[in-house]
Order: sequence, then structure tokens, then C-alpha cells
Amino acid sequence: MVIPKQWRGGSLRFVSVPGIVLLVSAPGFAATYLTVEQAQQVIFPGQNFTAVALILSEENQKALETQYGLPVHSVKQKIWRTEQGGFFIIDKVIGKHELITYAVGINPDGSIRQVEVMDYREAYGDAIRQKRWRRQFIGKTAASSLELDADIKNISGATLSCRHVTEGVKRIMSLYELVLKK
Amino acid sequence: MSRVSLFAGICFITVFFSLPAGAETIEDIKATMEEMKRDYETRIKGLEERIETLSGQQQENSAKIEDIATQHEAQAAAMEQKIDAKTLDVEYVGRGNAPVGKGGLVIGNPFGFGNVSVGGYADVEYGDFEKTNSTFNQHRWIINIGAFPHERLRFTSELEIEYGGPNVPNADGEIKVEQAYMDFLINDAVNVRAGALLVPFGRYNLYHDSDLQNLTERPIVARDVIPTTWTEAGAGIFGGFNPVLGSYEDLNLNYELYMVNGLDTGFSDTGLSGARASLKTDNNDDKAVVGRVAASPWLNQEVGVSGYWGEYDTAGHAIAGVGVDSLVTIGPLEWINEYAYFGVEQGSSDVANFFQGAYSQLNYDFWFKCLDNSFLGRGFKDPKMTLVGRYDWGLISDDSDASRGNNKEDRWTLGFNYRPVDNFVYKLEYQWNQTSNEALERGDNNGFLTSMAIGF
Repeated sequence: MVIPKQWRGGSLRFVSVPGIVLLVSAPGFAATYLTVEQAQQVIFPGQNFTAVALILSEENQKALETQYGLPVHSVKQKIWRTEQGGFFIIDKVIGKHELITYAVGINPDGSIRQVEVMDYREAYGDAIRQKRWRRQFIGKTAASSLELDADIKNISGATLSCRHVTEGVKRIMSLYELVLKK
Repeated sequence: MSRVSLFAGICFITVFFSLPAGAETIEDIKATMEEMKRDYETRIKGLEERIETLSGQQQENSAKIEDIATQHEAQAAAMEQKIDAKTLDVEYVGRGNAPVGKGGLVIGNPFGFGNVSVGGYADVEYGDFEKTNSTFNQHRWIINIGAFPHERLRFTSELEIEYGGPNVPNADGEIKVEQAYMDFLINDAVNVRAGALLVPFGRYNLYHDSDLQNLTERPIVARDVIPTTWTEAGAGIFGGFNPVLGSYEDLNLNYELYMVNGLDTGFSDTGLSGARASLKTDNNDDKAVVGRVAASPWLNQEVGVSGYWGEYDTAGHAIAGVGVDSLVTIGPLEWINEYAYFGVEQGSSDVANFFQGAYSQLNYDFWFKCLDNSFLGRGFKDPKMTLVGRYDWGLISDDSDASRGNNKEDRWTLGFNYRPVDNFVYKLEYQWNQTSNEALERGDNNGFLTSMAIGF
């Protein structure tokens, strides 16, 4: 195969990476996409938040394990209550090798308002950050199955991230149903 | 009433028995008693009002105490969360039943931000093909180490130990770096990457982990045309966009574009894999450019286009490549296609001047509920099985060696997978192979392969 002369040598060879970066880059963020305050305002704009002290009793842990179907490993959870009775909860799960931090907003009626990915650190698989995947959770409740490949679609190539975030959201909704809902 | 009457009675008796002789009349006594009664009633009323006031104050104080207690609890919770945030960074999070889920090991940096992660995958295979000895082989043990010295600085690596490494008997193994790059993260659209890069050409090279794949044998195109795992020393940029077109916001575009040392003269008419470049020195002064752009209009639907261009020798002869890949998912059915073509500018007629290949693979996931309590399902939350079918094809031009004519190989594979969890897979497959001229992979030998792979 003959490569045309005009394709060769100079132009591509001297493509300047820094030049391209300067051309298209803009101030932004990287592995951390949202701080706690930003995530709160994205999910519950304009609302005030009060931290909720919650340490799970052994009895609650056992009940949660029964409801959630997986072992509970942490007795503490980062929870805020909104002035209108909703909840904002932060959780961490692992992707393939790295931790993913995400937030779940729960409406006063117990349905999921939004899921936001705050940190994603893996080199590949960040498709879970996309709205088209996260919006599958909207409106789900503790009564929903919240299972990958059932009511939550998997993303090919990001299976572990999808599964762990889905399991995490299910655990949070079980926690809400068992302890936070009044 | 009763208290007042009792008190009045006591007063009456007291006054009656204490009256001196010749005292006032009964009327006077009555008047005095009335006065005393009023006086005591007034006092009692005052006392009752005071009790009521104190009771109110007490309730108010209780409410205040409760408020203060709630505030303190909230402050304590906030403090605990801060402590948690700190302690999580220094926590050794094990795999399996880790607080954060199943996966690799994350080791926190006690001096602040900067986790180090450790993971990997391994596989073991058994093959039995016509005209060859059946054999076990411990193919790959991969160690992944990643680090975040800062939230905008990421290191990713993959060290491969193949067939036990170079010091096993027969010395037929190897240890090599498959990836070792650092990312300077800027924003979604553009980030800088440099190091030993996983070359972004085709889909398979990017998702080559044994535990991710449903068949043991890599596609012909991913071995002889796109030399998977293809690693190059270089630098470049990567990123993604999420353009919103009116009410349609599902479109996702991502790209990787790198300058690398590039393929050298080591290829032959059975594959490009021998042309993978040294990570130490370039064989010429030209740098190759390689990149892939992928568009995903909906979740799990993706089309990727890859390109490569670079001189491979010192005489200015170049290799150019183009690849197209696609992923289509419909419920439990996944359809993956990949095609690649590399054209070689010939310095002489003794080198192969094109390499091309393709595959088309169907994966169908299923599970039988009746297996939930069998040894296959017991204790696993979401086990699954997969039926896999793939057609493979590779065609490489002759390089004027002893065997004349282009070398071609076709393969049909039918496979079955069992996955108790996402990152452990047992694979069983049968291949039908057919070749023309020199064998690219298996020649005309049919056979079966079985393997286990685990990611962690």
C-alpha cells in the first residue's frame, strides 16, 4: 500500500499535545466532580441541610442485613436531612480497584430523587457518571428490586462499577426504610 | 376546695379555743375568720400561680435542653463524619466483604490524600487440539497497581507475568509492563496521559482482561492484526463529551489520541505482533499517531473508529491502520463486531503489505432459577451463564517467504460461560479452524479450550 507523500512526515509528527490541551481545555475538575456542598445543591437546590447522627444498633444491623440481603459493614453513614424532610446520603463503594464516592437524594415520600457520582478514579469505566445511567434510579423506592440487569441496566465494560453502585443504593434505601423513615 | 375548707376548719378551732373571756361577739369572730380565709386563699392562689409559672419554665427549659442535646448530637455526627473521612483514607480495605463492596485492595495514605490500589487478574487454561498435545497452561497473572498522589494526578499500571515468567524451566514465560502511565487530569473533555500506554486501537485491546472476556482465545484480529495487548511508550490526550441536542441528552463521545514510538520492522506475514515497539528506544526518528473516537448514542450501544499512522523503518516507509468496532445490546443479548486493516508501504517486496481481520461475537446471558439452590447458585447473589458464538477471520498478505500466497484463517467458536460473580468465570469452548497457506493461529486444527479467570 502506498501512503501519499502529503500524509507523511511533518504535520502529524509535530502535532503539539500541549497546544491541543491549551486549545480545548477549560477550568474544571478531575477525579472529584462534586464536593459535598455541590452535590447537595445539585440534588436539593436551595435547601438547608442538617446533619443526622446515626449509629446503627446491632439489632438494626441485623434487620438491615435481612432486608438488604448483604452484610452491613459500616455502622455509620453520612446523612443529612433537608428542611423539607428529604434525605441526602453519601456513600462509598469500590469500582474495580478504586473507590467511587456517590450521593443519593431521597424525597420526603421515600422515592429516589437523584444519584450523583462525586468521585470516580478508575482509568476506564466512568460511564456510570453519565446521566443516562444514573437516571434509572429516579423514582425507585426501598420496595424496588434495585438489581443490576433487572430494573437497573448494566454498562458493558463497567460492570463492577455498575453493580457496586447499584448495591450501594439498595443498601441506602434499605437503611432509609428501616431507620430514617418516620 | 378541700384544702381551703380544712385550713378554715383548723383556723376556726384554733381561734375558738383561744378566745379570751369577754372577747368579741360571734359576728366579730366570723368576720375575722372570713378575713383570714380570704388572706389564705389569696396566698394559696399565689402559690398555685407560682407553681404553674415554674412548671412552664421547667417545660421551656426541657425543650431548650433537648434542642441543645440535638445540636450537640448533630455536631458530634458531623465530627464523626469528618473523622470517618480521615480514617477511611488510612483504612486498609480488604477485598470480598470490604465496607465498600467487592473489589481490589485500597491502601490509604496516612499523610493525606492519595490512595494506592492493588488488583489484578489471573487465568489458567486447558487446550486439546488436533495434531497437538493437550496441555494445561497458566497463561497470565496480571498485577494492577494504581495510585492517586493528588486528586488530579493518577497512576495506572499493569504488570504481566505470562507462563510463570522467564525463569521457569524452558524459559518460555515472560514478565512485562503492559501499562504504566500517569494522567494529569484537567476536565472531562481533555486530560493528559503519558507512559507505557494501552494503545487505543479497537475495542478488544482496551477491554482485554481475561475475566472480562467470554472466550478463552482472543480473536485472530486481536492477535495478528491489532497486536493485543498492544503497549507503546508515548503521550497524548483523552477525554469525553456529552453534547445535549435539544431534549436528547444521551449522546456520549469519548476519544484517546496519542503519539507513540510506533510499530517497527518486526512484522511478518503471520502477524503484526512482532512489530510492537521497544519501550526504551524508537527505531527511527518518526513518531506514530494513534487514536480512537467512540460514539455512544444510547446506553450500551457504541461505535468506535480507530486510526494509526507512523513510519516503521528508517527509510520513511509507513504503516497506516484503520479500525471500526461496534457494540449493540438488546436485553441479555450483546453483539460485538470489530474490523481492522493495516496497510504497509513496502520498501521491498519481501514484506507483507497488508493485515486485516474481523470478528463478530454474540453473547447471550441467562440463568435458570432452579439452579439457585444447587452448587452453582448457592451463596451467590447474581450468578449467570452465557452462551457465546464468534466468527473470526484474518487475512495477511504474503511476504515472499517459502510459502506462497496470502495467509488466511477462519474460525468458528461456540462457547459456554458460568459466572458465579462478575469477576470469576469458567469458560468452555470449541473451535473449528480453517486456514490457507501459513497458519496464523491454529491452522486447520479443531479443538476445545477450557479456562478459569479471576479478577480482583
